[in-house]
Amino acid sequence: MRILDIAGTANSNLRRSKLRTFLTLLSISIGTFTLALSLGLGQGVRNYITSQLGEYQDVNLYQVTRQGANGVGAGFGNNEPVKYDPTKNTASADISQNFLKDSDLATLKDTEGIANVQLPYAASFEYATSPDGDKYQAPTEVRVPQIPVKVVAGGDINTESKDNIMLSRKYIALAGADSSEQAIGKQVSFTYKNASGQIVNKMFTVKGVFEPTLVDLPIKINQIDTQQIAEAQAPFGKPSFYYVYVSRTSNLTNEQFKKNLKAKNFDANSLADINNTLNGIVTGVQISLAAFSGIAILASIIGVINTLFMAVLERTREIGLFRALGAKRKTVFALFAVEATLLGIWGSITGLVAAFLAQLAINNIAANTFLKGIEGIQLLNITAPQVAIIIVAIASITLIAGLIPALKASRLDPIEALRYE
Amino acid sequence: MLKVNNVTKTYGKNDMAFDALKNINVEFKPGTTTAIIGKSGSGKSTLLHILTGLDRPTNGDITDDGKSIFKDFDTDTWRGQSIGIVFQQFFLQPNNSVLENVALPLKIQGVKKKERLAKAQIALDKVDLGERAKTRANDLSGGQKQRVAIARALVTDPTLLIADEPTGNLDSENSQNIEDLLFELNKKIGTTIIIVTHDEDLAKRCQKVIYLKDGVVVKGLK
Repeated sequence: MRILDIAGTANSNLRRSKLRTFLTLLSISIGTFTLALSLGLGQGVRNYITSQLGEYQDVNLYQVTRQGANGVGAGFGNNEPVKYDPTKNTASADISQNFLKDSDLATLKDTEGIANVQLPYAASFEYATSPDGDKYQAPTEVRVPQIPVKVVAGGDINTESKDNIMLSRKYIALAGADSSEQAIGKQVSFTYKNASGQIVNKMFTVKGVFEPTLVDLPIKINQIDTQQIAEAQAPFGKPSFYYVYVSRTSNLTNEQFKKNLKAKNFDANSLADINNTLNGIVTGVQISLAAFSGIAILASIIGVINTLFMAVLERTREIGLFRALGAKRKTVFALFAVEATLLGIWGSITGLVAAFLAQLAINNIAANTFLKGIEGIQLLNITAPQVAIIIVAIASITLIAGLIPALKASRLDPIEALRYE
Repeated sequence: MLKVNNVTKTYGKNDMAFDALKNINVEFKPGTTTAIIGKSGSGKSTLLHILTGLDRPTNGDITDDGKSIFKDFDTDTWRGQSIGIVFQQFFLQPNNSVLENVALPLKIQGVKKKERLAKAQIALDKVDLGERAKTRANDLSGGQKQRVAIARALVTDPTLLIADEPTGNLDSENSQNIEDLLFELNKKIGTTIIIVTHDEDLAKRCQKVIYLKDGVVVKGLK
């Protein structure tokens, strides 16, 4: 029998018991629906993370802290007690214990693999005043040249760009502008207090507007001014640093570099690490959700086996007739195996269509409610490869489920089958 | 020529062993009509199943032109190509059209749709049901259903047509028509026909009658 005829016969056999086929397809499509949504959710979140942090994957920049400074010591209520060590300054309220000392910085500079060390000066402003006279909060950070920004108007600021700032696209009101282009060249006044509590005003010119990511603060100030203001604000003109930025020399791998730092009691985390950690969490959640879908699919598989056993019973005489007319055992086997596979294909297609409709609705609702304001996020994103994988996987599973009924059908004695009432 | 050579069929084992057929030797010459007749339990059906290759003899063999249908042929393929079977219960697929029912053996053989439907139409014309090709099988009368079953048996141009109680489910008028059709096909096309029946009147119309009793041929001549 030709494969197309086997498929056609199997398909018309499915249409014979419409209600039973419908219920079996329904159970498969529910499993597929949940699987597609869980994969689509993971993909949607992963896409968002990549859109926000993907460009940082290859940035040669590490945030280096004293070892354990990123972890939590004693002091949080849900932690186990930690033994007192008289050689360490561990007074629980003294956060300065984690600040990097001059000796630490010297050690870092001598560590193999360090290309350069940058001190992350941070200026703290009371407010910023727009050309219209409106006052705004002014969260700022230093522009680190190695970290890429997506400039949407004007240009980037470099270490030499004294008196220049960059604004996030969402923060152009600070420049009294309605568009990114309009903001370029505008003067914004920033107000800060120095170490002795005096109010100081400083004018900055907007040189560029950038597209913000999850990790960006909305105002970026050039390094020269940031250092000057930070020193003016620090007691005795000497700011303390909890971390520093370092670059790695090209002769060391990421792992070797981290190992070197660890040997000298430092922890190093790159932006790629943050990206990878977030993606790892998403993958974990995705796998958990897919496992729940797996339970639904497993239940539907039992339905497939039951459906096919019923079909074998109902069509026993027909199987006998096929054999009497010259059909081989393998032809009968193929008829039922293909029928099982078709159940998987139709069930998964139905579930995927429902999942796509749900995706449209959920993305629309999310964009207008709980994700309003988060640009570029598409909560659910079922991809073409996922569709292909789901259909192939479900069809394969139903095929496997159909093997025992198909085997039973093929092993029927044609004489007994013809006599079956 | 189909030959039954020393065929014995035993069911069960040891003390429970029972011979349904004992050393049967029969031959069916091309173009002839043969009736296999006997009471219930005489071994008619067992012989039919072995003749068609649906069952295997415990001893002996069935040969087609000197070749064993069990050893020298793929038995399923041989049955599909060389034998047409007509059943008492018709065994049509009720929701399929008459044409699709008749084309089924060709579909099993892997013949392309266009070709098999054309051949099915020719077979239907032979049983005078050409105009009912598109009718659902379930919408036919008993006599018409058996005609369709005969057309299905003929569609592969078999060398042998075996009819198992072909008139058993029909009234006398339809029975007569079906009998006439079978003998007419034998005359016109030259198909070798074996009819398994307990109807002595039908058997008398055949050129050869094989009487079976307790698994043994008691009379082999007309």
